[in-house]
Amino acid sequence: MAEQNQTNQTIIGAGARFKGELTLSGGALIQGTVEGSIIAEGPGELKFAAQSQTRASVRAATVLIEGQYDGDVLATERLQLTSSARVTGEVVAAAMIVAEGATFTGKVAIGPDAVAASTKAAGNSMNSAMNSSMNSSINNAMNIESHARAAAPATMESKPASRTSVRLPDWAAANGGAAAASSEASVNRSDWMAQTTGRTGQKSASAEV
Amino acid sequence: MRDVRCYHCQQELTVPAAARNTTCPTCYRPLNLDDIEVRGASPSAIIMTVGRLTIEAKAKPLTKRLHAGELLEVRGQFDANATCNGHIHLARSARASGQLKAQSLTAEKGATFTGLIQIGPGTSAIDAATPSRANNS
Repeated sequence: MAEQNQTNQTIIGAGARFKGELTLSGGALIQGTVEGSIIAEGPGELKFAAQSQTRASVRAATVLIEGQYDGDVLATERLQLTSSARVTGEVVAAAMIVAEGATFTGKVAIGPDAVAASTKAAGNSMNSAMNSSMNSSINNAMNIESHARAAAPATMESKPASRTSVRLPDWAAANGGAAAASSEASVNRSDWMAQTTGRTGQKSASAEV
Repeated sequence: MRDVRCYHCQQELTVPAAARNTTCPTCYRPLNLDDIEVRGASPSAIIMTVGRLTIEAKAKPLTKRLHAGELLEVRGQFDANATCNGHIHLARSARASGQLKAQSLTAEKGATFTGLIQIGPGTSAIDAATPSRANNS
């Protein structure tokens, strides 16, 4: 069973170089070089091995980083950095573990509220990103078709051009505003900050210091 | 005997295990060797120790500068610049914001933190010797 799970896992092997947007259902093991964005849906773990080099934004339930990582991380369950991790970037996570020996520098928001706000914002931005990528796919497909038609010699019987059929899903059509969601997130954060600092304004010296 | 590190000049020194405070032989500044528990709204501008520092669940210190030599355990609330030569632990009841610098960190599910975190060798010593914002004001 464990072997079966392992064979079903997405692996970007050592020496492999991936550039672009990667959307997964389940976990993945990254051993190579990745540039772009990775979205792992579902409960799987996204693991960046010790030899991996990543410059990307990542969204996953659980993220385990052992290698070099530069970018944003949204971990809805847990973010773990092992002792060999070298990480810079912005982090939003429900829980976070950084082992001794690891290096990390960046802005961090930990907590269920931060995760909820970021997930909402990321979902909306993903919709718009998917929309734009699909639009470009459609444009590419149309370009391919027109080029194929133009390239076909007049004496030859023109064959139908290989056409990439792209069907927009319903959710992609109903795209919300990412900016609105992010502004809502910042409002939530400032509310929380104000609440916290407001509470700390009480003066009752009963500390054991 | 106990090996500690001066939080002013980062010099290592050995002190008797039962000692509660001392003076750094290098920079001649006083050092608190106690473990500290903060249980209320501490009015202190700076809380520093070479030992362990615990912000208890109902604590809401007004402190803007925290330093713990061994361990910083947060169960309550704070908005401060916190450094630790060892480990920082944010328990599930922690509500923190500000800057954290340490060698390692854990934040339990349920804890909230907003701000900047620096983890790694040498990071906890970056501004341990600099006066805090609260101290300046």
